[in-house]
Amino acid sequence: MPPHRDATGSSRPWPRILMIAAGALLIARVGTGIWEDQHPSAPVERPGQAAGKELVQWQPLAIAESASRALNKPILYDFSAEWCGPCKLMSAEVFADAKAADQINTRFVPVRIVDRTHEDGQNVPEVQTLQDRFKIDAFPTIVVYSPATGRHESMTGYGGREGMLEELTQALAAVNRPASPDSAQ
Amino acid sequence: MNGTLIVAFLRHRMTTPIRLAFLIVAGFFPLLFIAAAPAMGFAPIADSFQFALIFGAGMIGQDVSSGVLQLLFARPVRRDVYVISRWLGASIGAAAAAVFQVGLATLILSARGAAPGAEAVAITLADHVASAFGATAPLLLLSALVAGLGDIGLLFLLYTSAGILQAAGGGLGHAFISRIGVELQGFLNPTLHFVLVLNGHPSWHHLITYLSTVTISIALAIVLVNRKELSYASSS
Repeated sequence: MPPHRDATGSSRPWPRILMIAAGALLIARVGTGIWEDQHPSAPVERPGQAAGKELVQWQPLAIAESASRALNKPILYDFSAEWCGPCKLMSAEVFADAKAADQINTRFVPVRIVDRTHEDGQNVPEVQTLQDRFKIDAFPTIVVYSPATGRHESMTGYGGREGMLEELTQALAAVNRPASPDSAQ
Repeated sequence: MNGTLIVAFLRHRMTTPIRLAFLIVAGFFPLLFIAAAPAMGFAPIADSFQFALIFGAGMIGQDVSSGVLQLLFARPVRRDVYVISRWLGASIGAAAAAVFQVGLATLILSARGAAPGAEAVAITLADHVASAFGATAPLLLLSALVAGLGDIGLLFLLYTSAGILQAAGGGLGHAFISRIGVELQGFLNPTLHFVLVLNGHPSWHHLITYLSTVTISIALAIVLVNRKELSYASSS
């Protein structure tokens, strides 16, 4: 029969080690939380990627439409959130890949929109307006929008680098089609 | 840890019709979305929270309300071993279901011409297993607090409160109120995102928050079970 009492003879010992670990981790949790709030970490280099560099030339939301018209390129909105795992994976596999980033920079005006509802309870009005306009309810969502034709294409979720680049090509062709009276959106 | 307790617990879970029905629905329903929209990748299967609920709900509370706990503690079983075995049993069940689901999702995506890369599959698997072991820990604590399936009610209440705090904080412009809601929600469903490390953003806080939530939940659950005075004349 296995022993069911500890060294003190109790069958309900105080979980001393676990409590010490829990206490230490709680202190570390508060400490690292304060530290990381004040010192955001710099990205670490991965093989084949440029350390600490944003390869995609993200543009400010405020100038996106005017830049799009001036450069005659549609806008690529990347709707993401800090807590979103697939968004991070997409960033690592697509936006941090030199070849993919080059394609995006060449063909689009890229704009990154980060949802802060989870962290701050609400978004700044410009972001919320944009999310409402494109009916964003999941992350990541990529919207390719052409102010010139008024067309847009949405892609929700992330299914791999090649699939995404293929979809971006299709979206580019779709939004660049001239608007007709019966297909205008 | 007690292997017999873990196996018996899993056997009970796998032979309860209502849990099996929920398991099938929660396991296969998201796969329909993946089959219909493969471009979404693994997005429809965000974490293992639903499996943790199916395997973990009432993991201690039902033993209390059914009188199993009195019988069990008449056997040579230490209470801390019982609590940890319950957590491990629920976690292993939830993790196995999650691994099976990710495996099926990978097959479906491959068949639909959107095969995910090995790295994406590995990260998703790791995230889901971590989510299974994480989400069962606070459920263990709630189950030690209330009898029967009261832990589900308590979880729902706390989740709703967290949502209200987030909304109220946002509405009133008080970020700290929102933060309390976020932390509470994070406590109820601790997750690890391995992609943060691969993406070049390793966060000690992220890892420590997960470990802290799990250890606090287990430690408090043991304390609560240790303090339960059981007798055949008592229901708790």
